[in-house]
Amino acid sequence: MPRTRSFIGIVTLLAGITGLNLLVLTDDPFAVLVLIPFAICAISGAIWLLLLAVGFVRGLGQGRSIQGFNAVASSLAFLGICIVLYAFSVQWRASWDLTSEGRRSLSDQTVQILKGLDKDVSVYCFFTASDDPQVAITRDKARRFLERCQQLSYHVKYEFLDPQVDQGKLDSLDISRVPKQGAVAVQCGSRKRFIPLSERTARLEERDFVNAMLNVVRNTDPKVYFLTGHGERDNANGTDPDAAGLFRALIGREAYATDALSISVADAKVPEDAAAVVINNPKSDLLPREIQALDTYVAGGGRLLVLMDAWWKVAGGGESVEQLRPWLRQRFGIVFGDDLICSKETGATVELYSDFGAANLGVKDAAVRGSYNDQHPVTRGFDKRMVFKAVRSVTLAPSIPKDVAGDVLLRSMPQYWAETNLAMLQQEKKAEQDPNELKGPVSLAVAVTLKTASALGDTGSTRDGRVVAIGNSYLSTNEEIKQAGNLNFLLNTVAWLTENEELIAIRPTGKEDAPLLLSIGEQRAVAWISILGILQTVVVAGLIMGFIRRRHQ
Amino acid sequence: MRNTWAIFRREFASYFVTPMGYVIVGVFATLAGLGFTLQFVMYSWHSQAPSAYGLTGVPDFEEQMLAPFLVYCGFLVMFLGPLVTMRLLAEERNRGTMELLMTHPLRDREVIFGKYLAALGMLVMMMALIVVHLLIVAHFATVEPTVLVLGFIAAFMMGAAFLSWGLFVSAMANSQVTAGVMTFGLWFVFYILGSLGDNMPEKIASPEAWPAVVQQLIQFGYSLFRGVVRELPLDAHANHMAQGVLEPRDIAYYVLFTAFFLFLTFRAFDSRRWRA
Repeated sequence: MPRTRSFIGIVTLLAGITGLNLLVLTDDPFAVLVLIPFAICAISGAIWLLLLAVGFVRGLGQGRSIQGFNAVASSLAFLGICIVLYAFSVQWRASWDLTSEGRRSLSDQTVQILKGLDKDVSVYCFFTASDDPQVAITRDKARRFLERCQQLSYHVKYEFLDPQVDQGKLDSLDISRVPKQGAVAVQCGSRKRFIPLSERTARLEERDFVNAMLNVVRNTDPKVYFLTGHGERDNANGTDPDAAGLFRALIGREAYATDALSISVADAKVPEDAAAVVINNPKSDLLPREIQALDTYVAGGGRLLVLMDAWWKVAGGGESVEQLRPWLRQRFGIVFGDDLICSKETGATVELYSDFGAANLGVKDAAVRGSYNDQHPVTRGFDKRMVFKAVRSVTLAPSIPKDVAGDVLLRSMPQYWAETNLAMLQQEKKAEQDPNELKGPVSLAVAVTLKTASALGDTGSTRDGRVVAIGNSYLSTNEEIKQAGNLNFLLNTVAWLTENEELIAIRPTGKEDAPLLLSIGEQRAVAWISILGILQTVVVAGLIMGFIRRRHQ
Repeated sequence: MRNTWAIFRREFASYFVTPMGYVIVGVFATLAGLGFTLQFVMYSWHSQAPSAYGLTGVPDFEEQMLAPFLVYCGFLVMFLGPLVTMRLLAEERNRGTMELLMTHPLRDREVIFGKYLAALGMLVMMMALIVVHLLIVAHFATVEPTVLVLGFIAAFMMGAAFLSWGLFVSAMANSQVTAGVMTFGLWFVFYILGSLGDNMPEKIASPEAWPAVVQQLIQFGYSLFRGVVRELPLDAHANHMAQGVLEPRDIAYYVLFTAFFLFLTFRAFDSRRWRA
């Protein structure tokens, strides 16, 4: 019997090892070549256990067998108890955030939204199987965040995928590229939102996730209207390089409905279902009644996106006085300059980066790092390069109305200035910076928020009006919108303009740490204490103890 | 209790009768100091000029420096832990004093707890060195004390769990070297499994031709295996504690892990009697 049992044990072991080797070689756990040795292993293992049990029963009269059985049984029982207790601790969905701001917990708004969820939301997290610690940290954070969300709502279902392996899922979600840091796609039915992650965000931001979730679970698509009738860029033409049909189509892919808007003479008002109105480089000015309609719309919590190229002059809207730009200035404090942003090195081509690098010196504005405002939702964490061809300045007036709050979204690098002598520029193809011209970094896009009296349902809060003004419309053309930076910026802008109020209070979870400043002396001190100081203390302690022991011997 | 204390004192002192204790603590101090200095100074450079290192902002101190350092210290304990635990019970067998120990009027729990406490004493000495680093952190950086304390506790619990494992292997092995190698080897296997677990896909694609019941069974078994593999590594539960988040399952894991291997140590110790 013992010999037979040993033989079968050896067969079991060899079959298992063979199966493992074949599994590694074939990389297919269900291949016949792999299943056969594992099946032999399982069968012979079962026979071995049976023989062991028979041997045990026969040896029941001996104390060793009983003692051995007791030891194994009690160990297994204790293991079972530990597993059950651990399972209880996992089910006890408690988490105590001991950080002072509670920045590792979900906000109250998010908890409320999750508890009110009544549709299944699928979350697909795409992370490459990379050794990069940054990617691993981001992936781990996303997993923990989604675990917490799932604890509050079983409607949240998440899955972690490798974009290099699960190409089919990427295709089904219409995702063409996943950033190195990873990305998250949120889907509910046919509606989906894509959240790319960047090194700056380094986490799945709670706000971005909740925004995406709200977007995909709602029943109606917010409608974005494109103003027409003033020579705006053609939003129905998706082939002409100078048209903007692709911009409208891409907005449609982001779960927005789109339509053209022509403010009629008889009933000059913006439709009530307008989540946002886009004014894309009108070549002729707006009429006073159209301005009035837009004013009423924004004052009622409407959202406006205005793009105007440089050199745009009033072609006459039937009135002698310019309408649109003065209205924007007077009502919102937005100033579209009569200028063109230039630099000696690149002329009128303006490049935007997330960091000025060495050019940061002397530029004081901690909120706006590089070309992008790191505090504003539109450009927070923005790290794409953008290129403008012929852009004008868009600034906030020195005194803006009391009910308006404004932020600069984009600014040029410091070496650019706002050239106002456009005649010389056009004729002589040269520009010289004058003392009275705006020096770099020059503001190129602003966002303002208008406090309104428009109540937001039964929430007790009001919906604010928002306007984003950009000194260039080329970025929205079929040719230029293919650049990732331009597209992302425009989509972010539309997302912010159509955003729900309840998300305003959700703060970003990333804590802004101050840089750790260590002088050379302090670095040396840290190195000495940490390495040599402690080591020498241990050595000296050892020598002292040895000396004391020798004296007592 | 008196006997436990006597065994603890004897075992703990024996670490420092020979240079071994000093060597272990010294090596730990050097490696921890090197790791700390490198991470701390590198973080300082990264935070002052993020763009030069491909970052777009000042990295989070706790996430990028503190938590990884504390988990690294836990790893160091696991590397040096076999040297602490391998002699606890295996040496008794080697020197032939095991029979003397077992015939002495000492309860098993007094022997095992006494030896385990001695190993914990070595761990406390190593942790005391980390306190110096944490004081440096508190002096130069703005870190919440609760986060520091929780991270320290996480590293200690990792070490304590690992020492219980080492004690069990020492109880099973016949020589110190075997005990040390087995302790380290088994830990390394778990570590590799944990790394693999992170990269395992959520679902496994079984052949579609197989019956649905079989496919579901396979999926269930795979999910169970994947869950176990991802939960097993000792460092898997320390990261979030080191960032200031306390969850019952993290504490439960370390406590139950320690309790289980101490229980196995009791069984292994007891088996010497009826196997003799």
